[in-house]
Amino acid sequence: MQRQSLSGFLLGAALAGAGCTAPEQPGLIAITGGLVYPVTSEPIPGGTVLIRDGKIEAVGGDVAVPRGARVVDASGMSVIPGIIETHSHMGFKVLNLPATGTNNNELASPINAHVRALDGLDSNDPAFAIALAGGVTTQNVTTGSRSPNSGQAALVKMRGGTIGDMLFGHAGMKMAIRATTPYPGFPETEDEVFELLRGALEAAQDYLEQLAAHHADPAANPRPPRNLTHEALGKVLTREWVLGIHSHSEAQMRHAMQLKRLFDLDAYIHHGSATNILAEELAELEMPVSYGPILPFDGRENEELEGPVRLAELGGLVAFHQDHPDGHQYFLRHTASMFVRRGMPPEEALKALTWNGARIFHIEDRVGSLEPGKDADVVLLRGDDPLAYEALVERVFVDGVEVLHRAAGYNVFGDRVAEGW
Amino acid sequence: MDSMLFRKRARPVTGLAVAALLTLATAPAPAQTIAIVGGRVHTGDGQVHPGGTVVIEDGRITAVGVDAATPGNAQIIDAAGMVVTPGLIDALTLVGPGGAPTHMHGEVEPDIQPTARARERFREGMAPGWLHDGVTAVYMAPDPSRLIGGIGAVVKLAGGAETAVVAETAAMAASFGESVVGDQPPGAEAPTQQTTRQGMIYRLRQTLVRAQEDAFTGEMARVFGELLSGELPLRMLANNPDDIETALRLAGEFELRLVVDQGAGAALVATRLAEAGVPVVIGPAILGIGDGGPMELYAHTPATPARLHEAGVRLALSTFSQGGRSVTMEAAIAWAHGLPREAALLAVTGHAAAILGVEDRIGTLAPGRDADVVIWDQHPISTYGKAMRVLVDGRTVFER
Repeated sequence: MQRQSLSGFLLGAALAGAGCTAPEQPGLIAITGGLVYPVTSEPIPGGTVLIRDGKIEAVGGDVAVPRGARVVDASGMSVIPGIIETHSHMGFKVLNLPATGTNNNELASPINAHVRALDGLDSNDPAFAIALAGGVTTQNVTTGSRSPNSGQAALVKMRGGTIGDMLFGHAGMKMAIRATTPYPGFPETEDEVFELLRGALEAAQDYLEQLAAHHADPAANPRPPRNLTHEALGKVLTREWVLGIHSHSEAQMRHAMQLKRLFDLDAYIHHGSATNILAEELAELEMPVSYGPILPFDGRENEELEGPVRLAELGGLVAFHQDHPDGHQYFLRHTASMFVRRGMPPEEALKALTWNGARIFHIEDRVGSLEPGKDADVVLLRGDDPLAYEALVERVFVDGVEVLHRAAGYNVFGDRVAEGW
Repeated sequence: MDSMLFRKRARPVTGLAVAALLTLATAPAPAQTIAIVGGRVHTGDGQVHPGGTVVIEDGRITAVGVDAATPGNAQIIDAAGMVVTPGLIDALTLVGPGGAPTHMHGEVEPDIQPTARARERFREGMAPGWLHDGVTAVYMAPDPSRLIGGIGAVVKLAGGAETAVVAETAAMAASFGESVVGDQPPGAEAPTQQTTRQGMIYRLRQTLVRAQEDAFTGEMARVFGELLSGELPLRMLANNPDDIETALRLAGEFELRLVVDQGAGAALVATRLAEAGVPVVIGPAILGIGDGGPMELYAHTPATPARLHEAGVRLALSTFSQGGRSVTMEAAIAWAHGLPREAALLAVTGHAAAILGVEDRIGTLAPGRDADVVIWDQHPISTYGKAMRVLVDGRTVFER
């Protein structure tokens, strides 16, 4: 894992041994002495994570601390990649003020592929500060599930500042298989919802074909009028965008799986309550599940909750979510603890909080594990078990910038929440 | 579903355990003597007896301690390496069908229903998940969306209605703040009664004045009589610190015995609560904020229990749920955020019982108390701790 030459190592060791003090180099940080969980490889006791200019430069047990590095002592702590929340509505519902337009459900029509979550978010939502204190560094902020196709989701990183400052990437499209409230023009049954979605994707297919024909022979085929709905769904059809499909029951999940099959989509399930029944088929179809929200329902005796354990056993991809504001993102980590209580190996549960979410959104080259070359999104927690309830998040770095330091009372989102988070 | 789970997980360790399991289906408590030996016994009043014994005779505890003698005829439950606690108590829940009373005895106004009884929601075998989590008793709140929701009860989660109802009349419950204050949508007709914070408090005060002047009869007069004499506490759901202060003022004015429920912002008025000797039933930490949730809940943090404890406020922890949410998780989160671990345990055992007024029956392991005992594989205030065996009235009602 460490890519440093022996001579470099010896030089660094010699300098450290000589007690040389060099002026701190901006952007150079060494997190030392912690139990490092790279997630994609075995934990490293007393490991070092070296950060340069926002990226991870080295991870290992014998990484030399270069001159001028700011040393962050992580002894007595565990060090994990930033947690990835795969289903959130944070920023949509600030303080529940009526008539402010802060709502994640645009209901003007059943198909809202042209609507972008990014355009509706408010960075003043106090929940951002609380989520950061729970170790979340990246989240998929998505439109709601009241309409069959509510719009486009956004990936944000918890850097602070405006939504523009936090924007990390596109998070694809959101659809929902559920019997909807019968607004005018809305389908009512799950079957009707499925047919509507299929029709919308077929219409987008026609649009793409008309465009292709136009490009092939502009003289014979006039360009179709630009249609933002078809354009957006077209990106789902070409797999440029991932598709997240809200579905709970077995019947709903089967509809979602059928959509993936019919159009060969890069699609995953949101919620997936019937994963316990469909685990084998999901694994076979290579359809990931963003599972949740479980909290606040930890005490529930429910065989449904065996679903993620089973899917992980079969090699399927499962990530957890809290569906803020339904569940509290500060406690997303506790969801993983709960599945460890139910028999999921701790390393799998940690993956479900980090690496697996990165894979769903195809951002695993940037985030989700501690490896050289990746974004320096790093979380330090008290104690050696990052899934323990008592393992408070002590410090958080995003892109190599410290955004939370509990002991110092620092949170990049400022004093928008009460002391204690 | 739960019975399936039970069969899958039940792992009889000894012949005695099998015998205990066989008694599950039989209603009458067996006249027998049991000694739980060798465990680390937390009595629920702050004492810890390593390698202690708990002796149970005919459903009651008769001796506790390192020196407690094991009667010769006792069935021995070996708890070596285990932790023994009183059955846990969730001091604020909405458990039961519908979450609100199904029958109204009478009302002052539609949202003032002092005689509605939460106890009517009691069902045998409700919330098995809680029982398996070591919770043996809960406070059932009446409808929290009303200004006066009615009378709350304390019940056990095992046993029939005859034995499980510990306190049928445990408290009168009122709600302040955003749980009951309704915004008037633009264009709506003028409200027929006060709906603002100040208007709601006026109606509560007016109701208490009428009670003082004996304006009520029958059951209504009886419950208000108990309230005004201090026999029955008033549990006020109040979150905003200013609402909590309003509750303190009102309680002072009518000399009521006050308990603050939920108390999201209680840490901000902790000193005043401590001075007034008013306990708080706090939680849950995992309360969702937003999604229609009241703004006042933003005052709550996982450190709120620790702050109250530091200020000397007596507290109990709760899930405030119909089922599901785990009070051991609540306690562990409070511990993680600064509440001493033993204080967290007290908040779901002895202190919870005292706040509920049932400390002579449950909440502690002491001679004379009901034999509601849980044997854990590790300290219950933890991430992975599990209830391995749960006894209610000396009967094993769950074994993992």
